[in-house]
Amino acid sequence: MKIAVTSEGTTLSDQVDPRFGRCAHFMIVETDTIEFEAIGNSNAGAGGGAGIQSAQLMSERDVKVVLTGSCGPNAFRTLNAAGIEVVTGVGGSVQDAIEKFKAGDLSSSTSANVAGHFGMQKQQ
Amino acid sequence: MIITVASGKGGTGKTTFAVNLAHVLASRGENVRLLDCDVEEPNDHLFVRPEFTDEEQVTVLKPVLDQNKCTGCGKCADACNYNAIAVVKGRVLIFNELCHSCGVCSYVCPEGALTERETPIGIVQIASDNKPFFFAHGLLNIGEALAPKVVAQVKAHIDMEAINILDASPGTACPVVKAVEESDVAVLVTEPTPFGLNDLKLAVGLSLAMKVPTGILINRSDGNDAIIADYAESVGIPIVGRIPFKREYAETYSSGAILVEWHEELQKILLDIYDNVAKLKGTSVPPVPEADIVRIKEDKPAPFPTGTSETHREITVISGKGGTGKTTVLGSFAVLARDKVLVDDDVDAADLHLLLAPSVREAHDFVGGKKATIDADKCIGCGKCMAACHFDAICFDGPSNDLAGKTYRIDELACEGCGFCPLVCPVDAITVEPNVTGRWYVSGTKYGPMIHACLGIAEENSGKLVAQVRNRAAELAVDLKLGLILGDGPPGTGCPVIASVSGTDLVVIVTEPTVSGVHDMERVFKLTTHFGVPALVIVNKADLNTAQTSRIETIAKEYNSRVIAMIPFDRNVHDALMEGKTVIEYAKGAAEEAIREAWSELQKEAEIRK
Repeated sequence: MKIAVTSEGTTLSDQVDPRFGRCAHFMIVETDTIEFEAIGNSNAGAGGGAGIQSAQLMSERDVKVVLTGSCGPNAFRTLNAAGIEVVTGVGGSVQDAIEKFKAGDLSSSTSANVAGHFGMQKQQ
Repeated sequence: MIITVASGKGGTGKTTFAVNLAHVLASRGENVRLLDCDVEEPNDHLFVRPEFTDEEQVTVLKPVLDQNKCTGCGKCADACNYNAIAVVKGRVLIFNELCHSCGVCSYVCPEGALTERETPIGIVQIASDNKPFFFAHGLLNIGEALAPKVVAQVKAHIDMEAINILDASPGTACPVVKAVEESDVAVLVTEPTPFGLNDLKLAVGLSLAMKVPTGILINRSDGNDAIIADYAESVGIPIVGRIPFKREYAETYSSGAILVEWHEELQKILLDIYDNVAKLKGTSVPPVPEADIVRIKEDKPAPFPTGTSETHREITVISGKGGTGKTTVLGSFAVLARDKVLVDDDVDAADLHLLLAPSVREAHDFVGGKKATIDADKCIGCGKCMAACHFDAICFDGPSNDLAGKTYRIDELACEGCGFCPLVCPVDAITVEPNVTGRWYVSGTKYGPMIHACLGIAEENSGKLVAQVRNRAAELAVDLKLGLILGDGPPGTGCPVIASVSGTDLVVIVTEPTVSGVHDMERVFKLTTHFGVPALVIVNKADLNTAQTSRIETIAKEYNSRVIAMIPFDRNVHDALMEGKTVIEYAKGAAEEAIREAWSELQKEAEIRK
């Protein structure tokens, strides 16, 4: 299955980026083979609507599940419309996140877990 | 006659002047209309106490989708410059709060599936029978961006037979441009302090650029106002009058009473000011003065001090109402706190640098949006761009060329960079390019590194610039192992304030015991609650009105917060500012003591919340 993990870097050992819409990179991962592709997020610096555009990108990439720290209401609505599952509250390394997901330790969210504009501030 | 009352800075007395001027003119028998154009934080009604008789919806055109016609091609989402449309799995999603009502999506849709429909974004309330003058104000729905549209509808109640007094919002953003537009005279209210002067310069830049005859009103003048008078003379703007600095006026204001009813001497002062203002109508406007230049320090500065902290937390000071003493408090904290990075989040009217005298080490351009330009050599003068533009940003006064006697030109202050005009131009004469709308700086101060910025007049995306300076501050805190970021937030509750408080660890609300201070503090509490950020309160000039101060304490409790300090009305605060010093550096006294107490309370609180 194709999933996406928001990441601070471009390798599996990098940390999960806690922001969805304004994350540094998306790691698009094929869970069966662990083949992955890191794509830079050109929406990270958008004035507004970063989450919406990032969600649209996920849809275009035919991603089925997104693993991230936090997801705001607009991004959630868009991902939902695209039939993409969202798992929030994910931390640690990208590798850990993928393994936890494969082991079934992560469950998807039914609503946004942060208010809009959350990702405007880089979380430390 | 249309008089617009504006100021670069909040809390200078705009509302006081507008409301009281309306009163004295009306009691002299004049036909007066008071129109509150501060549609994000209207306050005039707190003093006028009108009974509204009519209410109008303010609507803008927003796209509505006909699902039956849509093929999910995605052209609308590609064309939208505001990320307000997403197309996923052939489904179109429209996000109204990001929509700028530019009309591009309906134009590019090949199926005619998107049509523009009137959608409410706010209201105008009208009190036609209000005595002794007509009153109206606008209210923008929270979360909506298009304040200028509401301002325009408030201005629809201008009566050319009357004296119309328009109370604009503080600052120099788009709604202020909209209020000042087509005014006969702009009155800029300021106070004789370095903050007042700094923000006055921004307002002067705006009103002169708009070619509106301008006068300066010095509020809280104590006879020593050369700081403003000298500037006014240097740029060729007359001073239309002075309102003296008196504690009694502040007390009357705090209770929501009308000053001219309690202090008769003010009636003549205001009428004289009106006479000076009226004389300005139709006069020629001096050229826009050159902006102050920020110079980068050339000799190699010492490296920034470092700390030992592996983590950091961020404390952000905000206020709702402008002029409550936010920067005064934060500047003092900057002196008291150790191992921190300072950040001025008020990018529209930055003031912290006046107290901390930073020397700039790095300067960066900020690209905050897009702007269209028309190539005057290519334009054939057909007018299709003007017909398409939803922002009245195209003027038919460009230079002639071989193809046309007159060409079209973009009004840069009004252009929203939506990209509609290049789509309709038959000769490809229009381009839309990213636009540098501000600058941001990394500087050194006596008290540690400081990040600050400056946004151009009527420029959007101040929230994005706030995010930019905060991110840089966070990077510096990590690199230098400094455990604290101290942020000076903007006034209001709009986009830049949201960008200042989201993700911060603790908010400190500096308010004052006045009807408007309390009113705006509640709005700020709603915002911090919405974002789940803990907030504490400092009451400035707490002894001005003890009844209002107790109200503040009650409201703070309702929001699970508390008042951590009360700063008394102290002359030292003003005197320190005049010398460009923080209260802590200036002299010992009641206010200095209260601020020290506030800081130690804050440290305790931050320790508990860690």
